[in-house]
Amino acid sequence: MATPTIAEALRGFEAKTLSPRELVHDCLDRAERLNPVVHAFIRFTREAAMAAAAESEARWMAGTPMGPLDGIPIAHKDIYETAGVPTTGHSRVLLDNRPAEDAAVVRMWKQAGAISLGKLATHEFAWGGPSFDLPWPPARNPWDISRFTGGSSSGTGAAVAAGVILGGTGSDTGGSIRMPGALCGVAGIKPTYGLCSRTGVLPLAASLDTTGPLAWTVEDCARLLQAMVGHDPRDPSSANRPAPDVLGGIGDGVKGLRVGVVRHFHETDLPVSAAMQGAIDAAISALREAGAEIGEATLPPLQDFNAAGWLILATEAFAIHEPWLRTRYRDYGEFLRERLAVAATVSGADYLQAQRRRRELNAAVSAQMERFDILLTAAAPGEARPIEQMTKWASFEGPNFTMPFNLTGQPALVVNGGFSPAGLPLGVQLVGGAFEDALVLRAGHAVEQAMGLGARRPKLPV
Amino acid sequence: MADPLSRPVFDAVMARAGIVLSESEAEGIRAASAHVRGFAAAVRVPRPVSAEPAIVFAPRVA
Repeated sequence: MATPTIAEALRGFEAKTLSPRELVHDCLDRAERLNPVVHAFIRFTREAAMAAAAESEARWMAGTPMGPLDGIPIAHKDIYETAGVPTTGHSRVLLDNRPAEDAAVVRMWKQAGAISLGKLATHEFAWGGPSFDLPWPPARNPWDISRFTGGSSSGTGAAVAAGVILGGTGSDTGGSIRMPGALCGVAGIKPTYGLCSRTGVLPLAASLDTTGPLAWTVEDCARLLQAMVGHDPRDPSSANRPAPDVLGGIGDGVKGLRVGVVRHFHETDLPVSAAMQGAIDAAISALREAGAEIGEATLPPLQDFNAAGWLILATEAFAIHEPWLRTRYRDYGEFLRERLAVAATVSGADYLQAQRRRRELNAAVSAQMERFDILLTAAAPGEARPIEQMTKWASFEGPNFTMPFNLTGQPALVVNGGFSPAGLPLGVQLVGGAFEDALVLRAGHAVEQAMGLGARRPKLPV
Repeated sequence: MADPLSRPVFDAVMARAGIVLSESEAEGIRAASAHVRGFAAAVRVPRPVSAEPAIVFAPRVA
């Protein structure tokens, strides 16, 4: 069975040309067969998934689907708590953690009818990876299993790219949805900070953490996001505002939209590969031809965002892990425990100076957002690198394109913009103003439709 | 690239954090502290003493 998109699957369920039970069964079979090579899953929940699929099928046959995702096979990054199913953060530290409750987003997707096939690989606690000394191996990139998936939502990116789930949860603190989205060639949105609940999600850095979806298409991301937005009084970061409609206008086009290309990010601050530049240019052309007005945005240097962002991320992560580091240091993988040890060297004054800098950087970006509706830049410098080249200190050794919008809290989407000469995906990043998630999805959908790359799937090794 | 923490300061920080390291681990992590020192220098830009720390969203100017 060719993997449908979520939109196609729902149409098939409604027309009774596609069976939720057969789809879930097929996805599970392929996922289990592929897992010894791609390692996207760390745990399957076959029995519960098949039972849920049977119930979904009965509802569709009766013409009474329970919600907008009824029967859709998904899976959750293993930092999302799942009632009765271990939630480990891909770490030895939480091997025995069996939550009593679902995370808020897990519950919301379940209520929408989505069917979880299991738990997905992640970098340890969303920061330590790719690591080979954890209880499970790191996920591999389905486009080339010798390559890195990006992280930390590595299993989600890999599983969606492999077509064994139609969507999944990720989290993004410095780029952890957008990087695997870019390197695995799938769509992923880091929603506006505060739009989606983090209740029941293992934290990394509270002032940067966001939950969000990855899926094969931007429209599918919108469907998944729609089922996870809304105020949650149990999450202190949750914005108390009405849940937006992020799906309804997705096909409305970009005519008149003001798009600011942050050229200095990807041409000067961190020059991208020629192929990546080509993908960016193609996305710009697609937007221009669809009626968008293209200009050039100037922000502070990428390095300035990364300096503040990494100080904040490291310090907040250290604060969370400090008690375990004292007693269970050797239970962490080498990458995470040593990154957290470096984080311990950040002083209180360093942290506050970083927050002051954040305030200034946010003001600079806000000024540009008066001129533009959407910012456009790379999501990654180029194609996925060989996994063994990913070093312990890679995050600190150079800037990334994603951290700026964790600092500002803005919604940021990755969409595939093309392929490298080696046939690996190249992700373009679109960024909107705070709570303009629908607009970002609309622009991403327009790019995706114009470029028509969605039919190209990875050739899987098994 | 900034200098890493001196060994005495690094040892004091690790002791405060309750992290016990081998000699080779300590030297590797101490060397990586140079990245943090670089970040810390980069965020110290000239600003008025009364400048407030960041919040997630900058308030809109009327």
